[in-house]
Amino acid sequence: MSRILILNAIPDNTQSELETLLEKIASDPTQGSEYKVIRLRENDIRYCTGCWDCWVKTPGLCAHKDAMTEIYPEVISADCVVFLSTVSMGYVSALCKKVCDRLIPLVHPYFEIYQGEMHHKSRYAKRPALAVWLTDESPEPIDLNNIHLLFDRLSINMKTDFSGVIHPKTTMEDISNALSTL
Amino acid sequence: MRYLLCNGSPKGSTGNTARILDALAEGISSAPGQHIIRANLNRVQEHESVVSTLLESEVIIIAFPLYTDAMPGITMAFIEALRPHIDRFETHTFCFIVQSGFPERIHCEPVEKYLVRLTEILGAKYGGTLILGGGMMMNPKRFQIVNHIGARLSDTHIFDETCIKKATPLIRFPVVSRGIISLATKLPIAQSFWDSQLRANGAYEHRFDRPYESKG
Repeated sequence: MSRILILNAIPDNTQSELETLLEKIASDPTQGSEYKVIRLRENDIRYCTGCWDCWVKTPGLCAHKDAMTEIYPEVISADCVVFLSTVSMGYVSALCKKVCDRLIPLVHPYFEIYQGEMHHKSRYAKRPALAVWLTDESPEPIDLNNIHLLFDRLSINMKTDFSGVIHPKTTMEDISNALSTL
Repeated sequence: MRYLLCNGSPKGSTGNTARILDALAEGISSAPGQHIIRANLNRVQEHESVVSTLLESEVIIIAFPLYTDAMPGITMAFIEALRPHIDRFETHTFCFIVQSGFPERIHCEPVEKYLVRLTEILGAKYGGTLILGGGMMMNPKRFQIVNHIGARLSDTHIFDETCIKKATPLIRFPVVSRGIISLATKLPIAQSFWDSQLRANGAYEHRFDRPYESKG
């Protein structure tokens, strides 16, 4: 059974109906996957400061001692990490971007050529696929395209698969179907 | 003309983004009558105050280092702070500077597309994005390009297209050179920038550690 980690980066409690449905799905044993949901806004997560400690002082370990310390092992052990976010100013929420930045300790500082481009080496052999779930049921096509492009790039940098951007309707059936495609 | 130079680097005044903005400010100042204000975006509690200054400015430059293929999270938080004022940017021009350690433009092009869209959402005029790839450090060539863009900015109020193209001309490595570069990255000297810091910190032997891996 695949393990799907949903990083809920909805910045406020305006989507409580969706969050209730999500928790129901996550606790439903008949679902085809094992889900874990982390509500990021309820956790103390600091911004990456670009200190590079995780690359040159304490390899692989982030200098911040906050909620990410518990989230990193969840990311590494998942088969797919889904960033659940509102569309914010044409992109994902700042909370979502903050957590993306904090994934830097999962890559190595050394450079190598990957897919014909310069990238950092991977630190971990097993890397989860990435996906984005937008809470907006009908995002603007240009925003959808930009978010797709940006997370596709992140997936290349993390040397993993990109499972795409989903934006299901807020019904149990649609959410279940969308998640089953990941 | 009133300029606001926003530094979107989490490192604030101590980072390389600040040095790039120094060069830009020097170029802008070469023309008389230019009024420049500098702001760091690395403290969320100061964003509201920067937004107030931004509303009173005419040309806004937001510079940041590439973090996981886009702007740093703290810069995105500032972008969100602009949301309540969306209908008030009609007379504003937004320009952007993105700096990246990767030599190819391809790493920055998706965020460049986003910045065009952001300017459209704000209802402002787009003045261009300068991509500075190939290292975070300032050097004479880079200083000259950024300084010249600043000097031209006082005339045109947008970034000079020719300078933008000169700054990072390489989009992707040519297919024929990829194998050679790939081999070169395997040489010890290719990673010496990192190795010297790892050694200085006594961390070299642990450089391949995987501290978040399950021990079970």
